[in-house]
Amino acid sequence: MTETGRNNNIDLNQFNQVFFEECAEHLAEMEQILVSLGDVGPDEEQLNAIFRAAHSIKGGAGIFGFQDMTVVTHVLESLLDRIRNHEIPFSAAMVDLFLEAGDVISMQLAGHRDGAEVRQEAIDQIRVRLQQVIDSGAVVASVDVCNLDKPITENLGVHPESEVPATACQCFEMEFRPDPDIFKRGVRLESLFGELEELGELTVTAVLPAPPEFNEFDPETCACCWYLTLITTASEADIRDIFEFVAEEDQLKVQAIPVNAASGKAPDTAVTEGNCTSQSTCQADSEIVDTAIGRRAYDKNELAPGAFGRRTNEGESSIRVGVSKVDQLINQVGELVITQLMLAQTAGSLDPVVYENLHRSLLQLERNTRDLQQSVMSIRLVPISIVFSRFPRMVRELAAKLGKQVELKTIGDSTELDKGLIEKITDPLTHLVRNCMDHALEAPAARNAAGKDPVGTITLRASQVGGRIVIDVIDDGAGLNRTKILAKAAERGIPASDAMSDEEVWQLIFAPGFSTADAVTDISGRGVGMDVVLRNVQSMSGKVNIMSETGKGTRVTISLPLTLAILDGLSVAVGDEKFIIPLNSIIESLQPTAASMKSINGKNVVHVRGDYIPIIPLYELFNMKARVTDPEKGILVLIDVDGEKAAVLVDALLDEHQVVIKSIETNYRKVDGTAGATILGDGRVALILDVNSLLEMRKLQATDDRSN
Amino acid sequence: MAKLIMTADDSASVRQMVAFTLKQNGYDVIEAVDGRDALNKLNAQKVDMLLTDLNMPNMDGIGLIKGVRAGTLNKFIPIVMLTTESQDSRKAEGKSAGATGWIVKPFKPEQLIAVVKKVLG
Repeated sequence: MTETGRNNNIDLNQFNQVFFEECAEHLAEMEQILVSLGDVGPDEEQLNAIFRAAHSIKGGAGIFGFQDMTVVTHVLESLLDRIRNHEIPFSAAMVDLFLEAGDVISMQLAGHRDGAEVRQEAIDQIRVRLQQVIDSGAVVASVDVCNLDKPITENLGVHPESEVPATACQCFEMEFRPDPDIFKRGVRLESLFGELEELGELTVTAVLPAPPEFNEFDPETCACCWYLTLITTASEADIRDIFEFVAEEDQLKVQAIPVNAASGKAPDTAVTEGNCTSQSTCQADSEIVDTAIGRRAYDKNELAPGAFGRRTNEGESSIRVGVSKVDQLINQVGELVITQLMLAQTAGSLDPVVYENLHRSLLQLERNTRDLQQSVMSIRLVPISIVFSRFPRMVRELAAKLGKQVELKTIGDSTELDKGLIEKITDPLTHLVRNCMDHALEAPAARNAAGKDPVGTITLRASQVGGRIVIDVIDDGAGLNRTKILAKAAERGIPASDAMSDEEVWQLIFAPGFSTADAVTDISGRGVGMDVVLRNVQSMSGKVNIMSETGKGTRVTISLPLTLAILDGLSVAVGDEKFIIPLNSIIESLQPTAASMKSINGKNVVHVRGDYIPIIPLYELFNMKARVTDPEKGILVLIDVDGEKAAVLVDALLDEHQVVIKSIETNYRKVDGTAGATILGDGRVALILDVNSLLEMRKLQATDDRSN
Repeated sequence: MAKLIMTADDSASVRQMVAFTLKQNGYDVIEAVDGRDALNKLNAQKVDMLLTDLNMPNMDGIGLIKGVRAGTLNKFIPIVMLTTESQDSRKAEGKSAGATGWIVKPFKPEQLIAVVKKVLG
């Protein structure tokens, strides 16, 4: 077998990337199954899926030279195998152990892939712990499945030449009675005998011990047995190696006899009918063993299509594309939309009768562009389940750590969100869920005492409301404590008073460094939580709202724009400038009468159906010249931000647009009161108003005025 | 003419490695991603040998071996299972299903070729 040497130059590194991706997929699948397990433990399909994950990682790791990764996977696999054979009962504690094992394997994977730090003690620890379960559980093992075949200590039935011991010539007499179905297994006896011949001097005699009746003769069945003598320096083990794929131990009898005694002599081992019978009995025995342990229940499950946790290859196919490519596409479509708008605007001045065809085509173009834009935008949308899916495990672990009982519910997993937002929303949500676990939910005893279900509930709910995505984090815990928050605020010198409404009090917890936790835990309570949440969400043009009722629970609502790249807006004119107001924040537009307007504390307000709404003159805010300064002659656009209303005074309403948002910040700097800019149909730039910050600016101005 | 070998494995990395090694050694290769895929392809295409993983979704290696042996086109081809040392019982199972031999994972490319040569004769 000297020719095998030339394959050494195959570089296995080229498969590493595929292997890493595969591993990550397997680990994610394993984790997903584990955290989904209830009290009942895994069913067979789930066990098999977990087993297959561990098994595949181990197999690949071994082949591609990541031996360290086989250590943990091996023990894990062994344990899982025992569990699915019902030799070791499954217990809830194993879930954590398996999750930890998964983490360790992830760590090793990251070590190989990204050069991340690998903690050897963690590997050793988990290996020992898994082994302990095997050892302590193995007592109940009744069937030793490993001893059916002879133990394989080397990798293969192929032995390197160097292992052939240089001993004196020996003569081996062999009696080879193969399975009748040996040909059906694709065994080629001529090549087998050829291999034996390479070891030394070989004589082969074929015997038909019990010739079948002619009409029972089946050419596919082997009725022969063979007698072989081999004079060789090789050992019995070498010979058995050659027969490895071919003969069970009892189908091949090998006897060594002194070389001179055997020379040229036909085998004298008695070949009697009795021997043949005993052989067939043996075979029958082995068949019984096969049926006893060979057909496990999981086999039929493994054949079942679409079983749990299975990656379907023929399912929805997808391709991976770099985000930059998608963004480029979005940008280009954005340009197309602008061009289409320009065309439409130019054509607007043309006679609709004379140019009827042109107008119809332009209308068609507008529809097509809009469809194209929507399709392109949807590429960037991904389901929020990507974020939600990380919480079951976190909640599970925190609950165990805190000694609380918590049930996590997720609603609206399939709600889609821009990929950029998904990445940014993960941290704030994690903070909120941790807060719920640590502060909001009470310990089981306390819940019992309060007459509540000892199992607390955290609900994550995502939904699309108009042009926004709303994510609620709801708990049925103790609720916010008004007195405590106010006391803490006073302590920290945050302006607050007892006269504040609940909503205003809840807003205090967004102050930097604010925490009412009595003790700082390693889970939360360092007071870096809520202000970070607010900042993160605001950076996505989002809003955070809190509703809480003492003793009943808290609901934190995060509301985000559907996408950061496109917006339905109303264009308005102020002086020579045009602005875009996001349509989803507009309630209505109206021309006020003199009677409906009042001045309260020096602030102009308009009276609309019982509400006094402050007026924000845009020209004042942006310090520019307007054609209209008297609200009576202009138009008031009523906007709503988190229930807070304002009336924006503009010269005139122009048109409704779908606009592509271009960032001013990246090209210039942040401009207060704006969320970006867009290019209009006539090629002019219009600023997009950020209604949130408009209100804030207004408040600041009001305070400035007052202090002046 | 180059011998045609099918490799059936749900792990893309192992499959690619096997295919690459075989091609480097002058064999032609067909790949299959699981047992069902392999059996479908083997019902339509005569091959000289099958290398199959045991743990696969949508029909495991044992099911595949039985399926091949029960068919006609590739009934007598050598079938080598890729298995791990912890699966001795499955090895016996594979054997009784009709496997010709096995290769124990992890294996090196040269070991794979040695077995292929041995089995193909």
